[in-house]
Amino acid sequence: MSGEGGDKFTNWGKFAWDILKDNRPAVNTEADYVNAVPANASWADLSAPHGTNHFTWKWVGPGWIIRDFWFDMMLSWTYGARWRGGGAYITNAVVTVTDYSVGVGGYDIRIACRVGNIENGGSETAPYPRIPIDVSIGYSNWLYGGGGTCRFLVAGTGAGNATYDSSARDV
Amino acid sequence: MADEPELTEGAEGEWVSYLQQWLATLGSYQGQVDGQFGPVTRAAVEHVQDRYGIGGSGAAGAETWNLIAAARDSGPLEAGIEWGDQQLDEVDVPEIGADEEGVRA
Repeated sequence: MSGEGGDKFTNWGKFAWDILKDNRPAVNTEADYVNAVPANASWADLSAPHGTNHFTWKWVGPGWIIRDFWFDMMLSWTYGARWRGGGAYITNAVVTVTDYSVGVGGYDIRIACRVGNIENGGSETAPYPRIPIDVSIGYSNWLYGGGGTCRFLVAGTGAGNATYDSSARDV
Repeated sequence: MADEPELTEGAEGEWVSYLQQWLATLGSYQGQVDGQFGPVTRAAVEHVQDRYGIGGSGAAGAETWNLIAAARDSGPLEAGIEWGDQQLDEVDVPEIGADEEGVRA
């Protein structure tokens, strides 16, 4: 049985966006998202997603006694939507700042999201997308600078993988 | 902490050098450790006082020395990450067309 094109994915969202601007959260979840649905299918032909999965993490800045800044972050994605009864598609993936504090260290802080190439983790007939999502933080003041990147791979099945690269300073 | 003197601009000596070393360790002082409490040292004291929300207006008094003592005893906090909750519920992937009706949204 052919996959009938369901193994080709389209992202109706974005491939890069800012999460933090001027040290404040700047995400508009109506526009700042990524998804992976069948390339040639009508949105109405997708089933409702199975559910939503998420990762949460906290970025903590440098400091002594108290932290100069911290950010509570969440990556969530809705997964398991079917097309013509098969596949498992991601209808929405967003990164949000759920809580944060920026102290008086004088830091310029940037957080941004980049989406890599969406690949098929399944088969031609039973496809599901895997979306690489990098969320990077960069910070600097007159003395210090640093950053890091959380690298996620989220799947239409609901599976996910997360690693942290403290040497990657993409923003 | 009773022995540390209150230091203001114009002070000199080993206590000033000690203060400058800790201001540098705290990331607020980039000048020479020369035992001279000049305007650069004063700016560094003001910076660290502002940074940690303590008073003093550029003079190194009891609160500043308490901060230095806490820093000396606690060690630095590195920037980094703490992973939180990970919700990972997976589904099977059926073949396309296996159920032509599917489940409509």
